[in-house]
Amino acid sequence: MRLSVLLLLATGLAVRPAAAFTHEKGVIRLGAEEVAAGTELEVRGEKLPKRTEFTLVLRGALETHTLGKVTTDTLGAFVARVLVPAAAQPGAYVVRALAPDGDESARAELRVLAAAAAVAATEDHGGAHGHGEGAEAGHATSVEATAEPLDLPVRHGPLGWAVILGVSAGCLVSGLALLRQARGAPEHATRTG
Amino acid sequence: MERTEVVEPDGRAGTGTAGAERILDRAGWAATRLALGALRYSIPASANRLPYMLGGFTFLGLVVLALTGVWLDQLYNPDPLAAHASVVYTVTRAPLGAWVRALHYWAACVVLVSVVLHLVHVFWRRSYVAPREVTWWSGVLLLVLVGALTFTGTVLRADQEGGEALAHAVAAAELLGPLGALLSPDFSPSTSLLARIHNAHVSLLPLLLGGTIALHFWLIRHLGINAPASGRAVFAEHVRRLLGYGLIGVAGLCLVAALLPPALGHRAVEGVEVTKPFWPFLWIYTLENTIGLWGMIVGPAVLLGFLIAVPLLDRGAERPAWLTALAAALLVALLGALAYGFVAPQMQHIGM
Repeated sequence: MRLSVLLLLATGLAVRPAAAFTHEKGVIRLGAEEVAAGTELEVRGEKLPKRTEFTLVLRGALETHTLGKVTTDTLGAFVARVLVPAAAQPGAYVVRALAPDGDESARAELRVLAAAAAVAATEDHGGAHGHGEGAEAGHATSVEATAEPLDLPVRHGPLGWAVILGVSAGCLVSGLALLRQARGAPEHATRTG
Repeated sequence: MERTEVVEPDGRAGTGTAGAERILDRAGWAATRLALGALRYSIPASANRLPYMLGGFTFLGLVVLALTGVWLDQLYNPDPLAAHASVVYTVTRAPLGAWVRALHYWAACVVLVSVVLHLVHVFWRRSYVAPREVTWWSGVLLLVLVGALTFTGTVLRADQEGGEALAHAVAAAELLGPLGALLSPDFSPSTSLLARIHNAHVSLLPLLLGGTIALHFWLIRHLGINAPASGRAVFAEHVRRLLGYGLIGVAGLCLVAALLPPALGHRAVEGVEVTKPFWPFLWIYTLENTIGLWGMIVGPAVLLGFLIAVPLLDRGAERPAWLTALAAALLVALLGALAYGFVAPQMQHIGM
């Protein structure tokens, strides 16, 4: 009896967070997992607050693009076709639906491919991707390999320099103190046996 | 083996103010609870000279690599499509990202130099003769692991140089057949090769490295440091000097990392070779230019075979002259190939 109660409690605890998450957060479904930059993407939203305007954004590690605004219907759903900016660099992104207060209400992962890569991927998979026609519409671009390094802006800033100089000074002072201690250490007598 | 017990005079008498004594008391409290007294064992006094600290410097460099690596890994994305962007993010936007990455790079360079110098010194000192054969072999394994960590680290950049390094690894795997299965993209279709190499760089190889270092230290502790017998010293003093020099070195590295950030190439384009590898692999590049793709397998195999065989080839009272000559020839050839790699013409190796 006690065991069954414990099991019920455990099951309940295990299930509750997932259920709560589903009701509090909406869901975004994308027409494709991969899409070429400069092509259209279908975005469907569900389980969102009713008659609310959301901003769809494409967020990557280096760049964020606004895809447009959508408004949910009386069931809390929407369907939209958005244009993935041609300027978006290939990589892993997240499509986010932002509520009017800026909070994220739903998200979905998306891979943005270079137009040329998308065409190749479509050919490889026989056009089986969700929106193969979008990929085919992408402009084929040739990317040239180069051994030249990227010209990246590396700025440490005042706080960064303070940390760097602080760590350097700390290591230097500690090192010198240890060496001074080692040189001033008393001689050790030894006995063997 | 001779067993030595250390008897110390009281070094605390007349150390100064009450505050300093309190610090010493607290240090003593911590030393007791951490059993640091175990470090006060006897070693040859000559082991306190710099050449005998090269292994210790290598270890300190590995500690710096581990600390900076943990930070970098918080920012790295092993997805092949996102990896390069995450490195660019680390360099350009993450707090202290560029500096930590540069520190990781320069610490790796220092480790590579110090581990080779340590190997040459140990060979010169004949510290591989009985009963230290396993100590030597564990050191050789450490060299291999450091090489593997360097290679995987290069690939993780996902820039043109990293992409070409990965392509070479795949080509080598194909040449090796079943032996190279782990480096084949087909080994695990559910994940990318880059993700598996990232996994090796941050978990598998460091675990193996940690275990091998523990074995290496255990053997050194119990078989002793092979240094000329010129009086005795205490190992704790050796550690103190090592940390002293090491921390001064880290201070220098911090500044070098801030002033000389390592380059990052453009996102890799597959199927072409326009770069040369990271400088420690340039000797292999020279071999590839000379004998083709097999160079990257034959070269390391010959070097590794020689290093493994050393304790078996030198079992007498003195090292055979031919072994010294062979080792010197190998070292000169390796350094020559490395130097030539810098000026060698850029060549396409894969698919030739």
